[in-house]
Amino acid sequence: MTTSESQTSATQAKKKYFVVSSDCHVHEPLDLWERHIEPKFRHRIPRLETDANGKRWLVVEGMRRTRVRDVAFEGEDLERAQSGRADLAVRLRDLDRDGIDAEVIYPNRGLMMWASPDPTHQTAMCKVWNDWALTAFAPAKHRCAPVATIAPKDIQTAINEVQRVAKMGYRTLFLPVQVPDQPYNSPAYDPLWAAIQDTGLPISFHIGTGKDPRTASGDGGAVINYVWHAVAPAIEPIVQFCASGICERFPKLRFSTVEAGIGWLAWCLAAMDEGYTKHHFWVSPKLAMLPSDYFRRQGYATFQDDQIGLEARKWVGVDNLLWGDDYPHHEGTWPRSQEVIDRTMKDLTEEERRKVLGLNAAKLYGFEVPA
Amino acid sequence: MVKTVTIDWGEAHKAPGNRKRWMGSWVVARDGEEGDYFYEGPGGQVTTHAVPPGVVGVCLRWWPAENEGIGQTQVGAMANLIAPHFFPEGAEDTVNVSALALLR
Repeated sequence: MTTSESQTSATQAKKKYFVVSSDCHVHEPLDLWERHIEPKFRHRIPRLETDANGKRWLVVEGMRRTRVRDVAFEGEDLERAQSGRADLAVRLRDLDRDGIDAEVIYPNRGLMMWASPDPTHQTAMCKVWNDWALTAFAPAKHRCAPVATIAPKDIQTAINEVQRVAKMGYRTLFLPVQVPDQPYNSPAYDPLWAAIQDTGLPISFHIGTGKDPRTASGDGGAVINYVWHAVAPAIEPIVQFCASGICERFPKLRFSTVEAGIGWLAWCLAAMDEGYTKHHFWVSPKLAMLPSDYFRRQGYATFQDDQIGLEARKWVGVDNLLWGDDYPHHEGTWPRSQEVIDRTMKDLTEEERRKVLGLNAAKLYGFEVPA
Repeated sequence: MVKTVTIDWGEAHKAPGNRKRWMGSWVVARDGEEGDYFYEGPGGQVTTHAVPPGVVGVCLRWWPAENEGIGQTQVGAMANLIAPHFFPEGAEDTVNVSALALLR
């Protein structure tokens, strides 16, 4: 028996909960966009280029060029780097090994689809993903739910795509965390929110999208970029939706942050209410409920390894928390999710664990929970 | 006017099994806009192609083998795009291109 087989066996033996990873990724086929995007966009898609000095660069329209270095992975790092493809037999085996019953699948290279400031380019890239992903995972749709990707800057085009992917059978809509120069609290988006509400599909805001998270450089750059330019911006759409009247006007709209952790959530809910009440003379619009009430009614936050956030659940509750393993990324918990769950959730009640690990996600994304 | 282009795709030692895959497309505008692909295959080939009207050059890209280059970016192996190769002004009939010569 191999290590992974024995680990799978052990994981299944101790498995007590229906577990949904609300944050997984797939390595798209190597030539997905090169082959399927309209030819006029092909020379603009993310790529590697080699300069006159032989240095290689990741080139993404709308992002700073990034030097590419070959990294020699070993052990589980190598295993993670080689995992996460769309080969369903391998993928489902990896889910089993980590005790995962179902997953919500995000792009990998496709996380850069919103980098270009050109909405037509964004839309073209999103359509390629949407045309591919649902079909690729259709044979395992009871376990694998790829997200549909939407480029919101051109609002009418976005509405058309929302309606198209809803008819195709997608179960969630992935919008970028930020749209530079066109923030989500603009009433111009109302037709889009109305269209999304009509589909009944939730919105997902996965970190690191819409604006280049690699903003800082030099000392501390990697940490600054992760904390401040990747994770922290995910708070913005939460506040925009809860405080600007979007949730009040569209009470059936549901939304989640993905991979942003939850340690900030209790503070965010309190800060929204504090701002709303103490700055009442500046606040517009006046809302029927406090901003935090709208989050509790319509919002969710996805985390992977966040002891602090779980300890703050007395302020937040657990009905709005989703767990994910970020498979196969290096900062994720695969293939040791059960160890992380045991370490971080030991103080949760059985009912709290059931909700956080699977039942909340099953309800949001439409997975069938075994009786 | 260029009627045909012959391309040496190089790198026979990479094929097969650990091959690099090449794709070639037409360049249809001076800003690098691409048209249709005209070739997909491994290195180690020399191929000749009729050039459609309006084409001003070729664009070549290559991929590493499946598990090669996985650590290059946070998002895995990606296409390597070579800057567009524009046909020389006044070139006639056949243009010869060496893919390896275009690689730096």
